[in-house]
Amino acid sequence: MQRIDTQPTHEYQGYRICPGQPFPFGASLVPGGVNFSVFSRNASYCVLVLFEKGAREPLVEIPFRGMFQKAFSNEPVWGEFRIGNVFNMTVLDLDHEAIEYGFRMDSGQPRAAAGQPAFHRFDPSVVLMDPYARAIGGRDVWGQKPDWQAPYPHRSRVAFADFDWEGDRPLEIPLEDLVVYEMHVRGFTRHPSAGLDETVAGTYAGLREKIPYLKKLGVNCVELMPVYEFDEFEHSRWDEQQGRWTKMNYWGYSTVGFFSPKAGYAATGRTQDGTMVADELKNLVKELHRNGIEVILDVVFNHTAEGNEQGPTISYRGIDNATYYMLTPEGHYYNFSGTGNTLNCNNPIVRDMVIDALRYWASQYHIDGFRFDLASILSRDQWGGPMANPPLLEALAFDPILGKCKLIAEAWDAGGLYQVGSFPAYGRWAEWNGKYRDTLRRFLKGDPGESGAMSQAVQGSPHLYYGRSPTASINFFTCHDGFCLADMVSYNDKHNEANGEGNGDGANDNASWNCGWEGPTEDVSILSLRERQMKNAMAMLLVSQGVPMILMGDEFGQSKQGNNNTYCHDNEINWLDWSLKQRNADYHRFVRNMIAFRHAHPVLRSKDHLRNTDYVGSGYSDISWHGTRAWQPDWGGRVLAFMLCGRHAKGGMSEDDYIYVAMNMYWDALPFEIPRLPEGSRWHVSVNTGMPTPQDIFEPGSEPELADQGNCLAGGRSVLILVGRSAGP
Amino acid sequence: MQVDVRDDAGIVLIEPTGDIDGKTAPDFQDQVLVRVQPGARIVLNLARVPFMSSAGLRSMLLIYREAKSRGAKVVLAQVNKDIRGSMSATGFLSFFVVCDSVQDGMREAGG
Repeated sequence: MQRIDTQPTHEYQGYRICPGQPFPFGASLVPGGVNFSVFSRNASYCVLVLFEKGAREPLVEIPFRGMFQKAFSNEPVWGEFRIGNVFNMTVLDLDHEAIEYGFRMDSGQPRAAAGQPAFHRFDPSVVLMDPYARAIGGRDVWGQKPDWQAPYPHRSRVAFADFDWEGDRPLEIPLEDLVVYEMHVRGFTRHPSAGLDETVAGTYAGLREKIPYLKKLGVNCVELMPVYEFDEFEHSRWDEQQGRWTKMNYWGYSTVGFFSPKAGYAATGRTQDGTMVADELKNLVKELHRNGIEVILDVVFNHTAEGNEQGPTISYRGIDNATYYMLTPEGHYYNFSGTGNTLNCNNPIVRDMVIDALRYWASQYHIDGFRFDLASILSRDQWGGPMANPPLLEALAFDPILGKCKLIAEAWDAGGLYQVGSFPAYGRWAEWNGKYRDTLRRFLKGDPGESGAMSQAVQGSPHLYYGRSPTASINFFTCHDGFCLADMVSYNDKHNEANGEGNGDGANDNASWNCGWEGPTEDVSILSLRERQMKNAMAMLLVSQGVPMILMGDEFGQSKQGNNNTYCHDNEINWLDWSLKQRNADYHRFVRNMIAFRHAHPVLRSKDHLRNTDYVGSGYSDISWHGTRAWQPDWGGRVLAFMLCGRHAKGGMSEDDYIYVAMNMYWDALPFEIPRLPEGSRWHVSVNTGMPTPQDIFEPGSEPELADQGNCLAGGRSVLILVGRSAGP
Repeated sequence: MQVDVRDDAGIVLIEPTGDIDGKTAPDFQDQVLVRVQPGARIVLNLARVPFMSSAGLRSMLLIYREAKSRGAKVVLAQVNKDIRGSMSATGFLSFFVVCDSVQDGMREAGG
């Protein structure tokens, strides 16, 4: 049966139209045409601007209010296509693949002067991108020089929503069982050493080709740095001397559109076909899922690419500045993001947009979870004040479609709000645990007096997350922001000169240690210590309760030359150098086996906080604390030892080995007295970072029995891990 | 859209000319589907198709599915590098048998 509302009611310059539907916002394919719907509370006038794809000048500009022609006649007729504050219109017989669209808006009020504060910034001379655009053109191929004079640089496109998922669903792996790999889509396969065809290097399709590598590494979740459409040329400069672009927005923490995948990350971006770009990303998600790997997106809802009063008008500020942004009483942009503006996340309209976007990604792209950049901004009210009960965070925590998604907060912002341990969680939110990172770094480099803090960290930071779960803690030594692991053991200080800001950018407090020499060295003893420290770090991370996260490149010790803020480098500093996999094969083997160790031992992956008691009657507490003497922890030193009782694995519901971990961050070897096992069980050596490969780690099941069951020696700055199991028949 | 069809020793050779996109895909699909008879052996020669959009990919998938449900077999031949790249990146390629030449395609379809 045909719908009766697919018949045109009006005509405008040969385009047949009819009143549209206000929901959903954006451009949607409907029977016979395309429905356009856009909100503005403060605009009194709106025009739909249609372009032939890529054309500079519009094909037609159809007002949402004015004189039209009656359909199928020459009679003039008044028309207004608006319900409430939503302009909506269906244009019939459009070839959705061949067009791009935008809006012009005005309020009839005087214009805001460029660079000056203002509440409204309407400017009908500018064509505005749709905030709900499901596909955005203009930066279709990464790094392809744009037309700087283009009147409409970021162009909304219509995308078709269907995809053949072949039964795929989000994986819903329990959070405590995840090993997260934080990665950059382009950086993962752009380096020539990735060995991919030029047409797919640095793309979603390229990432897909490397899934077997990820699987072998053992990670079961990739966290993709921003893949929402952004402008890699924002703040870029052409360097004549180097003959290439510098200061690229490589990381992508500056959203242009919240509903559109970054076209420049798609091998199919060159087709300028938004649906195909979406297909490519969906296909990547489907293949990752097929291989047991979840996908978390790093999402940036704290600000947009429009900057401050001086910035470009792309969309939001021209559509409804006072709705989309937090403004001071004078009309300046609040800058809690450190990038010029702050998205007004707890305005009801913007809140809905954020929820709509996440629902869209969860349902249409099968995304398994989200990590929210500078998430503390999402807890601020419209005037910037932190709220005890922020409606957006609550709504996300209880959203039906996001009900099984991982929600992870970067629980601080650039305005001084620091909420690690106190982020409004509603029983759902996890946090990037910056305190875990700092504690482990200090302990690793041998700072005295950290063992007490370490004991909290390895338990999933119950001191921070009491009443929550260890999984509230996303544990990490390194992430994209700050030193990578190789640099953390090779530099005392940041070396960000290449960023062109006189080494003034990036964090100064890195809790790093260069092991005796700043930067590259040929000194074998220093190099060996650095590798051991990296192994120690991986061992500590992967035996901690909570959710471990590993930074791309750390699994084979890639350096970023001491730069701890590489946001602007689209080059070898950031691109993963696959040749290191061979060159650092011993270390890489260690990391792989350490991940396997975590997967093999449920006792490391508790859903609930350890109780420090024996509640299953095994004779051992779920976790017990030791020092160089068994049962005698030393809370003031550089040593920590603990034992996990396998009979308490998964709250006593699972059976596992006993695990004993001795961390000696003192510079000399120390003897450790080992707690006794129950009758019939024997200690076996799983990990000893003080030993050369292959004795540094043994694959699960092949661990040799420890000769002296009562004592062992842990080398200086070494981690020893024993597994206790029955000696066998 | 121009779609040439001929029977060659029990194999239906279908040869479209031009881009398969939002404009042409519905017509292309209709013209091909009438040839997808139960048990048919079909070679789709894409040598004269310079570009295929997402709408084109979808019509190909619908043809493939229809063929499967009717017990027919569709083989692609002479797919250019760009289209092959798009099909590979988006996963559509995995649904099809693709042959370099029409001869190979005929052999494959007949086998």
